[in-house]
Amino acid sequence: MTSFLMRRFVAMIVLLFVISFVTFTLFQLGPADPAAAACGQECTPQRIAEARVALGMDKPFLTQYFTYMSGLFSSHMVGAPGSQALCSWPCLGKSFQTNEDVTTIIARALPYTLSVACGAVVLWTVAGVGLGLLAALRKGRFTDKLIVGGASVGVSLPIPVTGLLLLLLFVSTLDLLPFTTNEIASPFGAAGPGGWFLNYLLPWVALAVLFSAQYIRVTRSNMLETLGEDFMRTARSKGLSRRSIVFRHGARAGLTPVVTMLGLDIGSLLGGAVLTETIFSVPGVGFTAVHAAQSGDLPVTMAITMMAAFFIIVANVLVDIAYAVIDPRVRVA
Amino acid sequence: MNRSTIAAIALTATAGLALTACGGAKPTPGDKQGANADAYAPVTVGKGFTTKGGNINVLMSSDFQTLDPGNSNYVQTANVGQLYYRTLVMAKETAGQPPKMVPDLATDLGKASKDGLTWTYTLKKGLKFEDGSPITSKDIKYGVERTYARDVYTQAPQELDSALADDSYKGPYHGGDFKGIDTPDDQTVVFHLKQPYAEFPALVSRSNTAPVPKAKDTKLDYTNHPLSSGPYKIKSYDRGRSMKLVRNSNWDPATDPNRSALPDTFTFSLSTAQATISQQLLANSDPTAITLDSNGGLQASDAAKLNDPKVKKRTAAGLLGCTDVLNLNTETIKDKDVRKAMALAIDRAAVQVQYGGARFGKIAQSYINPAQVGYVPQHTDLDPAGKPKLDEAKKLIKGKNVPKKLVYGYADTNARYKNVGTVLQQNLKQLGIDLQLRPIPAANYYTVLAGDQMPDIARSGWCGGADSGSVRTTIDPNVGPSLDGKTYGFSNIPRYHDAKIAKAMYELRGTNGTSEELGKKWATLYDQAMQDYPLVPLVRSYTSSVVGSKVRNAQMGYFFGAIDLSTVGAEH
Repeated sequence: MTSFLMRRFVAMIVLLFVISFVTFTLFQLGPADPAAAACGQECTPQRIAEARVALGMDKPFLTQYFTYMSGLFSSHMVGAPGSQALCSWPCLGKSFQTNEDVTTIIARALPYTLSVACGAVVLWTVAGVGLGLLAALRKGRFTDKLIVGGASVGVSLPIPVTGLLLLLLFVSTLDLLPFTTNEIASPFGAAGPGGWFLNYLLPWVALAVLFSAQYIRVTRSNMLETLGEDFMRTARSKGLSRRSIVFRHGARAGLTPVVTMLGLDIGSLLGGAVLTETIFSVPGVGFTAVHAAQSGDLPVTMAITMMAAFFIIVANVLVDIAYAVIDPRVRVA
Repeated sequence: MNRSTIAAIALTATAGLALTACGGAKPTPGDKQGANADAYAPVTVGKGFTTKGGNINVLMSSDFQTLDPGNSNYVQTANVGQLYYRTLVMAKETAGQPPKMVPDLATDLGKASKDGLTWTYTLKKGLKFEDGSPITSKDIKYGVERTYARDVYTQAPQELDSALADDSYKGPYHGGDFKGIDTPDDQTVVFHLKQPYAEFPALVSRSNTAPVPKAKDTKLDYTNHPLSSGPYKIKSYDRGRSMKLVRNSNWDPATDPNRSALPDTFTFSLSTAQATISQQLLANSDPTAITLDSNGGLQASDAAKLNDPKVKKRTAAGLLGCTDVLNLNTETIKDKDVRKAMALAIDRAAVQVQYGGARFGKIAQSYINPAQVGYVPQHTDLDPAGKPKLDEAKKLIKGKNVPKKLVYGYADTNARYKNVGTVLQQNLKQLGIDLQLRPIPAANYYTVLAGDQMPDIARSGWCGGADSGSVRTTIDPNVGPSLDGKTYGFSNIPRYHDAKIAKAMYELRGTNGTSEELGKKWATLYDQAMQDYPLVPLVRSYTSSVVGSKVRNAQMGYFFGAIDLSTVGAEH
C-alpha cells in the first residue's frame, strides 16, 4: 500500500506541473491581452506597453512562468516595478485586477464553495442512491417508472434552468426563501446553522436535481445487475432476510461504481460549481474563476485551475485507495 | 457551459427580445399621456425628495475594479467616487442632459490665461479629509502626479495628463519635479497646458484631481481605503463581497452644494448575479435597493415586465450620451459612394431590434447631438426611422467596383453584436456583398480595431469622451487626425483621413477660444467628414433602471448610465 501511495503522490506532483504549464501557455497563446484590457478604448500602443511592464508581462514567457511557480516554494517580491511587495509563501501572485494576494482571494472564496458542495453532496447522494435502490427493488412497477422518468427529466435540466425556476418560484413568487446572500459563508457565522441552511438550500436542490438523477440511473442499473448475480441467489437460498440481502450483500457490491462517481464529483465541485455559484450569487471558487477568466486575470486563473486540478487528482487518489481497500486486486495492479 | 445551457439562455434571450421588439414601437418608460409626449424623455423616481437618513443598498454583479481615483477610468467608480472624493470641478448629472460643469473643491470653473495655456484654480476654504487634516493644493498636485506612474497604475485616467505640459514625467515614485502644475500657495493650483483646451474644466472634473495626501499614499493598496474628501467614507470593504459607506463628519455641506448626501449609509453587495439583481428589483424584495450594473441589471427577458404599472412607477430612465456606430474601414472600402450605399442599405430599425427594441435605444442620425455645446445641424441621407433605402443604394454602386467579400468583427461576449452582423449580412447581400462574421475577444476588442487586424466593418460605442457635453471630445478621437496631423488618430476606428479636414482639425486643436465657438467649427468639419460615410450611426442608448419602492430622487445619469448616487435618497 505504501508504494502504491508513493506512486500516486509522485504522479500527482508531475501532473500538477504539467497542468500549470499548459494553463500558462494557453493563456499566453490565447487572444486575451490583460495589458490591452487594462486601458480600454483609448489605449495607445505606448499605454499598452506600459501596462505590460506594470503587469510583469514584458518578460520572456519562461521567466514569467518560473517566477510564478517559484512562489509555490518560497516567499518572493511581486507586483508592478514601482510598487513591489513581499508575497508570503505559498505565493500564488497578485491579482491583475485588484492587486490582492491570490491566496487571500481563494481563501475568501473557498468557504462558499465548501458550503455549496457539502449540502449538495449529502442531498444528491441520499436522494440518488436511495431512489436508485428503490427503483431497482421495484423494477417494472409504477414506482420504478416514476423514478426513472423523473431522473430522465432531472438529468436533462441544465443548472441555469433549474436554478432560475427555483429562484422564481420559491423566492420571487412564493416568498418562502430569501435571496442567497454573500454574508453567510459557513454555518458558524452570525446567521447560525439555520440561516446557513436556508441560504444554501436552493443551490443544493439545483445541484441535487441534476446529480441525483445521474446517481439514480447508475445505482439502479448496478443494483439490478448485482441482484441477478449468483451470489445473491445463494444468499436468498440461505434464507437471509431481504434487508440483509439488499443492504449487506447487494448494496456493497453494487454501489462500488457510485463511490467512484462520488469521489470525482466532489473533486470537481470543490474546484467550483461555476453555473450554480453564478446563478445564486455565491462568491465561491467557480464564481471567482469566471470573473478572472473574463477579465484576463492570469494569476487568479492559474491558481484556481491548479487548485481544481489538485482536488480532482486527490479525489482520484482517494477513489483508488477506496477501491484498493474494497478490492485487493487493484493493489496488485 | 454545455450546449443545452447555451441553448436555454439563447432561447430565453430571443424570446425576451422578440417580446420587446413587438412592444418596441411605442416605448413606454418615458411616455407621458398625450400624442406629443417625448417617448425618450427622462423619468426620475421620487423627484424632489429631500429627507435625510436611511440606507441605500446597491446591488452589483461584481466588485469595483478599483476605488482609487488615480487608477480608474470606469464609470462605476466615477459614480461611487462622487460619494468619497471631490475634484476641482464636478460633472453634475441631470437626467437626459450632458453633465454640467460646476465648481467643487475650487471656487469657480478656473481662470484661463489670455493665451489659453494656463488655468488657475483657487480652493474653497475649510476643506478637510476624513481624518480632519486640511486639503491643500499640494494634495491636488500629488493626486495628478500619481496618475503619471504608469508602471504602477494600469488604469490611470489619461485625458488630463495628455493636455498638461510635461510628457517626460514618470510619476512621484521616480523622483523629479512635475512641471505641469504649480502650487504657489496652499489654496492655488496652476495648470500648464501644451495647447489651449477650451473644455479644460471638464478635464479637471475627472478623478485625477481628487486630492491624495502624499503621506497616505499606499500605492496599489490605496484602493482599499481612499482617504475621503466627500460626504461619505469607507467604513468597511470586504473585497468581492460587500462595502459600507457612512457619513464623513469632516465633510462640510456648506462647501458642497452639488451632493445632496441624503442617505445615512450606502451598502454595496458586490457579488450578486445579474439574473438575481433583476429579479430582486422587479419583485421589490428590498425596497431600498438599486443597481449600478449596465442596463439597470435587466435581462432582455425582463423587458416586458417594465410595462407592469407597479414596476413602471419604480423605473428611472433616460437617454445616455452613449451612441453605437458601425465603422466602415476606409482603407479597405475606399470608395465613399460604396460606403454610402452600404450605409443606405443597412436596416438600422432591424439593428435596433437586436439592441432590445425602442425601449433600449433611439435610432441615431449622428454621433453628436443638439444638447452638446457647439452642435450645428448635421446632414445625412439616412432614413430617420432607420429603414433601408435600397434603390438609392443600388443606384450609387452602378458601375462601381464593389467588394465581393467583407468581414464584420464583433465582440464575442455579447450575442447582440453577432446578431447585428446577421442583419448586416442580409442587408449587404442586396448589394452583392458576402459578409463574413468574425468574433473578437471582448477584452481586447478596441485594441484589435486599432491594430492591423481591423476588419472591414466593426461596431463601436462612444459616450462623449472627456466632456460629453462638448462635441469636440466626440469628434476628435473618433474621426480626428494623429497627434502630428499627418494620418488618422489611434482611436479613429474607420481610419478616416481627408487631408483638408485633417489639417483643419489639427489647427483647431491649437486654437484658443471658447468651447462654443470652437465646437461649432468642429461640428462643421464633422458634418463634412460624414458626407464620406466613414461611420453609420446606429442606436443611442436609452436605459431603464428599476429601483426599490422606498428609493427616491433616482435619476438616470447621462454619463454614468446608472442611478446617480450623488442625488439618490431613501424613505425610511
